[in-house]
Amino acid sequence: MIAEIGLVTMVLGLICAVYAAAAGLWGAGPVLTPGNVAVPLSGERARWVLSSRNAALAAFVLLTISCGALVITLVDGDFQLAYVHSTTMRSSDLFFKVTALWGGQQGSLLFWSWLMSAFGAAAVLINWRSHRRLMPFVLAVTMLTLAFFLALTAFFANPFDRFWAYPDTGRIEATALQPAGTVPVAPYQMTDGTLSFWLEPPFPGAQTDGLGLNPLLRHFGMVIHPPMLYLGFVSLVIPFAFAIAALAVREYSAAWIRVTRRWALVAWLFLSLGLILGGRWAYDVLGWGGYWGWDPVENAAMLPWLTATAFLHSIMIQEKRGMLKRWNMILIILTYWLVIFGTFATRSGVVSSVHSFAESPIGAPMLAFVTIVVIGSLALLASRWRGLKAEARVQSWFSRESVFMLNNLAFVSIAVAVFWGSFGVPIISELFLNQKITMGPPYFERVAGPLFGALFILMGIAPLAAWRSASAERLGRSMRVPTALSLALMVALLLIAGGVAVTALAVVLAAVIGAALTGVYALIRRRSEKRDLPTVALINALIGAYAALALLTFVPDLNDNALATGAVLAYGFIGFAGFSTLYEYVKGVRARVRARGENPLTALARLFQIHQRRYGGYFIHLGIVVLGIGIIGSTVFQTETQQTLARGDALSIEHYTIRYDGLDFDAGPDVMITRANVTVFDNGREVAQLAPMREMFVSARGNQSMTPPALYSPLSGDVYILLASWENMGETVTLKVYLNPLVGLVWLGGVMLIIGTLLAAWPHPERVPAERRAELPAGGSAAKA
Amino acid sequence: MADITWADSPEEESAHEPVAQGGGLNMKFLIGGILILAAVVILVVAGTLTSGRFFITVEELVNRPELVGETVQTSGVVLGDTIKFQEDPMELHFTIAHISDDTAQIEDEGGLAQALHVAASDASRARVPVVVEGMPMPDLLQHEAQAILTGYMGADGVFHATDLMLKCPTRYDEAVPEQAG
Repeated sequence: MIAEIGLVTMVLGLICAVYAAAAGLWGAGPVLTPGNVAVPLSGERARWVLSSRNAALAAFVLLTISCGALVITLVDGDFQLAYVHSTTMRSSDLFFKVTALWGGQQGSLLFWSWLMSAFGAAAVLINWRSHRRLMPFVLAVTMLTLAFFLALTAFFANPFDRFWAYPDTGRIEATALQPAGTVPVAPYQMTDGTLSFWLEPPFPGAQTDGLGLNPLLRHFGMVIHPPMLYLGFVSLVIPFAFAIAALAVREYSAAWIRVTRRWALVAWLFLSLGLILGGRWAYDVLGWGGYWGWDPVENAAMLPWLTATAFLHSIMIQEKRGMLKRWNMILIILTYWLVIFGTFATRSGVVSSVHSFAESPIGAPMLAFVTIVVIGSLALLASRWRGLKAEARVQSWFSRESVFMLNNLAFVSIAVAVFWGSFGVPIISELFLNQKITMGPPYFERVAGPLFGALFILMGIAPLAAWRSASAERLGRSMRVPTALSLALMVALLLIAGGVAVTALAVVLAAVIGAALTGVYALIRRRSEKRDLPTVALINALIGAYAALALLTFVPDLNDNALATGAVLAYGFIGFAGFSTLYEYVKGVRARVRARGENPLTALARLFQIHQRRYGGYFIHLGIVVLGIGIIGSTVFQTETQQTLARGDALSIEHYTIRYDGLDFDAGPDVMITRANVTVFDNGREVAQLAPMREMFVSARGNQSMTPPALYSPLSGDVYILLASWENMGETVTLKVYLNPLVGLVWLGGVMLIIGTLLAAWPHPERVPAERRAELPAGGSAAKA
Repeated sequence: MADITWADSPEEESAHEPVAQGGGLNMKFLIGGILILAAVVILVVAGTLTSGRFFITVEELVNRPELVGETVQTSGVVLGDTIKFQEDPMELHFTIAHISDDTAQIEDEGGLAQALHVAASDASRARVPVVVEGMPMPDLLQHEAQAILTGYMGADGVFHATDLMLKCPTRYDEAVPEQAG
């Protein structure tokens, strides 16, 4: 009964979505014909648009019922449904039964569709009156996307498929509609623990049951990670829809951007969290000591994140200066393509990956859909190209506009490079060379690493760069403090990590390179009154330091501690961004303290309140800095060891000693647990008692073991202990231990991203505070309404 | 939504440098942009050439002696009864059997789970022993699991793996079972 409701409402939702897309397009169709036709705001066509809106709302209501129905069948344990059978079992916790909604492909597609209907309805309702002209196409794009996903769900991956059997042959099928000549059949749990299908209970008291979710997936991070990613993906469809609408109705101003920038920011946050949580799950559960493997499917989720980050920044330039309009259109279209592609890549066999779920039939239709939509979007963009002409020109390499353009270039380059390595090379080589070539982590680290470094530099420079025309000297002067601090940081770190000799060598190299660059500068500017030797010399010292460290790291045989110089180089980039951002806060607080006599804390709070986007955004940047510090520490400086120990023996790694105390055995309803009790000492002082374990789950799915690590997590970094094996009931055990310095900063960085986004995006009253109004330069640089 | 004004931050000077005349600077940016793109392309190409690994099937590993010593990637189905874990020195031994690398062919064979099952049961398929050092027993290493390995074929006929990936579990969602009571 419930399942039928779910199926019917889902199909009705699909019909509503198709109708809404068609009605929206019909209502505003004339705009797409040649000539400058306006969107009809009244009359018959406008009524079609209203109807389209109502259909979109109806789709949301219907899909809510449908998802609700699926959740009810999951909680109730209606195991005749194939989806319930494959994702839950009778003994699952309620939490895992509810979250099984997205535990398998069919449910997650329905969940995706529900999110799409919700966001589409919300975007349309919120903006119905203020942006009427855009609504028909926003509806068309969101509903078209929704219709496609619902069609996929209904016809290829239906969560309401049920088991039916042919009584004579015993053959079983799983379909939504009952085939002729079949009877319902359900899986029953037999006395030996296996499941088999029966028309009637095979013995009195027999209960239906399911396979349950794989134990490896029963982790908080793994439960939250898919919905976070889906929230991010689906939210990004909204800016895309508005962009297409703006193109269609020839809206060349930043109006559509103002509407969608909060969507874009929140989408970005969800995507970031989804990526970090996926990493956290891998770290906690999979037991290889790391959190990111550069697997093609991981990369596929990162690609839209890269273009979305570029988009988030680039739209600021369109709002402020009316520039980069074409860039923004290309970025958002690219992001939409990557969102669908990302969803597609996890569901097809296009590349071999630990994540590839199925060579399922939905792969090809998804690729076809997104390619058609993107080609249509690009065609529309081409027809509106001239209208998107920038309102101003970039006037200097050292201007803020230029930095943002370089930012776009950097992000897109990383995206292209990662796409090339994950999909380009394997697919092209297989098609054309008949020999599949794959790329592993070394490719991605080597190529993406320097580009991310460049991004940190841009992150540091952007707040310091002036608008319009700006000289190198002017930028240099604003960079003095962060530059000096970065140089000091690099020297200090190199002394600690590499020692005096390597530091001296690096300093000399840096000085030579810096002096050479300054000499060239002095020649070029010898007649100019803008000449500023001291400032430029300082900047060149920084450039020289980076170059020196790069030489010492990458030129073979120049230095036997390339690890140290490489890490210091990375920290040099990250530190520059960090110091520059912190300095922004200092400058802002200082200005308010001087001008108004406020105390620093009040000044800081007012900064966040009045210049919300700017200082909230800087906080997000600080989160990225912290994330970067954590990533470098935990990958470059990771150490590991393994040893077999008898009771009472200990192994040592760096300044830690880990003593094996004994083995414990335990059991749960479907699991047998073997636990090794260990004590961790830090320089002789006892700091933790941990229990790395092996869990053996026994279920109708078969046996599945899990080896969760035990973690001791002080600020300096994790001690990550795995129980690799044991002998003779615990007479000896083999432990594998990783040290992951600073890994906690990765997770802390994630938390800072959340806080920063809340600070930047928190809705504030429309009224501009009097104080703020007084600050606006006379003649106003206010953006167009 | 509120007006955005991206005014310069409170302490910044408001005096701007005089606006340069437009036109001539476009060439500078174009050339600069091209140079940057060229640098990125060089970075990508260099990375591709040095880090690419060939993907070889088990059959080719066994039959092509010129592959000895080359770092490659391969994939095969794990034979459960060959799995041995040695503690000291920590070594993992198992044998994998050949599976096709052509997804179309795997579809024809009835899907991945079925293809793995067939490959594991077929004694005539090419097989190669694998050794992985320093890795604790992975939870996903089971009979009929698909292993994706990076490493090199040794002269001893054993594949020395430096990296082992095993297929993610939801892949093995139970296919529709065959019989009913």
